[in-house]
Amino acid sequence: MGETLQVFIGINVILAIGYYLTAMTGLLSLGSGAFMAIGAYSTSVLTVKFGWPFPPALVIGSIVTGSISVAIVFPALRQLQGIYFAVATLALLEIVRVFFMNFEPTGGASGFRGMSGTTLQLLYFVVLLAIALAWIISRSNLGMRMRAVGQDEDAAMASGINPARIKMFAVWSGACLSGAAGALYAHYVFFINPEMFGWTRSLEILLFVVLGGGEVVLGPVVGAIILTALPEVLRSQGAMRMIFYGIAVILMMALRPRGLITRDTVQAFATRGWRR
Amino acid sequence: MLCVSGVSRQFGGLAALSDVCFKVGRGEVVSVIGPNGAGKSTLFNAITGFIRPNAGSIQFAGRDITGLRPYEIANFGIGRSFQHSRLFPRLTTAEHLRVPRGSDVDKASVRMILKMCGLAGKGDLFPAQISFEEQRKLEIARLLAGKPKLILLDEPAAGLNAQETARLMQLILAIRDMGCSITVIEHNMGFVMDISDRIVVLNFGRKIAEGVPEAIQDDKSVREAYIGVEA
Repeated sequence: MGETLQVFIGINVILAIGYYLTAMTGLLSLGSGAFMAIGAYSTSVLTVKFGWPFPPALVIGSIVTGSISVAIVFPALRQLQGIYFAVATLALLEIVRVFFMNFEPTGGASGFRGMSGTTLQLLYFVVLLAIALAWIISRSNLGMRMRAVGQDEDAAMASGINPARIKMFAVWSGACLSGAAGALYAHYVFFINPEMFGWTRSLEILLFVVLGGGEVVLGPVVGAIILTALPEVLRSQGAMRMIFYGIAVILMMALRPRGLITRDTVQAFATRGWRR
Repeated sequence: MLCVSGVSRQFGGLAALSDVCFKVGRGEVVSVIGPNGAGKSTLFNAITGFIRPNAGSIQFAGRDITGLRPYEIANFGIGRSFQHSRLFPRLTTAEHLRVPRGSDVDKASVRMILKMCGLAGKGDLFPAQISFEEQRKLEIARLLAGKPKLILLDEPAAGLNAQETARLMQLILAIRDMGCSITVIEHNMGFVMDISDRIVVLNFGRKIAEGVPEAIQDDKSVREAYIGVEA
């Protein structure tokens, strides 16, 4: 596997896990691209303009993204449910894009360049960290509460859960990971511009989770790997590539509406073993 | 323990609750009965914060809980079930018990609560994989995991057969014996008469009677509300 493909798979796995954490609470977000952009730009400013080494800049960039997500999303959480929340995040995505288009210190529309420092080692470290954290959260009481809020908000409230607070955590943790992924991306491709983090990006991230499955951590990981590798595998098909990609997506959705890897899949393998 | 005084709630021009007062003491089982539309579920929603009363106040354990958010009220120790079981479809039975705040129940107490509710050995199943009776009891098990001081059950026996109802009654009495107060909305009169220390009767949003089961059975206004005025 080429290094570039590995890097993109790794970054997409981090994005998918971030989305998975947010989606656990039933939130439909289209804002992952915005958080990715915030992480990419804030980290790049630290490394390029202030000469920071990449790893600490990555940590700060991720925290900055998380904080900004709390500040922006919090007012929306109490009022907005379901599709309205999704539309609000879409607006956020557009606001962030237009902001960076016009923000001259980071190059505006002509982009920002000069980043480097994403190594495979660092990438795999962040990927494994993200998987480990998501796994721990998903099995904790907090994870139960996140899913409870996503599945029946009233019943969760009657159990003493404050849905707004749980969702805030979900958005924050997802944004931190999206920000880290954005930073890793920027420091691999050397050059970024606001168009790289548009709604197609957000939609692609949503697909990782919808296709891979949003119930267990393995789902988004598998979803991200398959959907990132698929276009490469289909490269020989030339112009037909995206048609095959689309057919594959439709087939997976038709056959596995909850996603490829669900809790039942894991349960079945756990009881029957990995042979079958 | 629970003291509801003068609670009223209007929906548009309709008075769903008007000036309702009643009390529930520690370890007491109080039933709320009344014809459909009498305001029973609205009363539960008002106590648990799902709707805000227009007037009146609700005290619990010496604290005014009127108008608080549902999760705040739940964390003060009032648990409730819903008229149609509201379970988490993609959480297993055992995982349901880990949701309530302040519970942080360990594995042993999860097992104990499941056993008490007749769900022993079903901890790894999803709600869709257990029977209707078990779903009802799972909702009660989830309540217990929150270590409530008072539980409000909205028609817990609806749809259960006689045997299942008898088992449910045993479970509710066992919960009472643990020192938990219980308020039940129920249409199954046999169940209500057997289980209640006291009965509150609502009709058109007003309390029309209150008393021990024997007194309620003989109450003229209650008979009128249910059967109509005798010729």
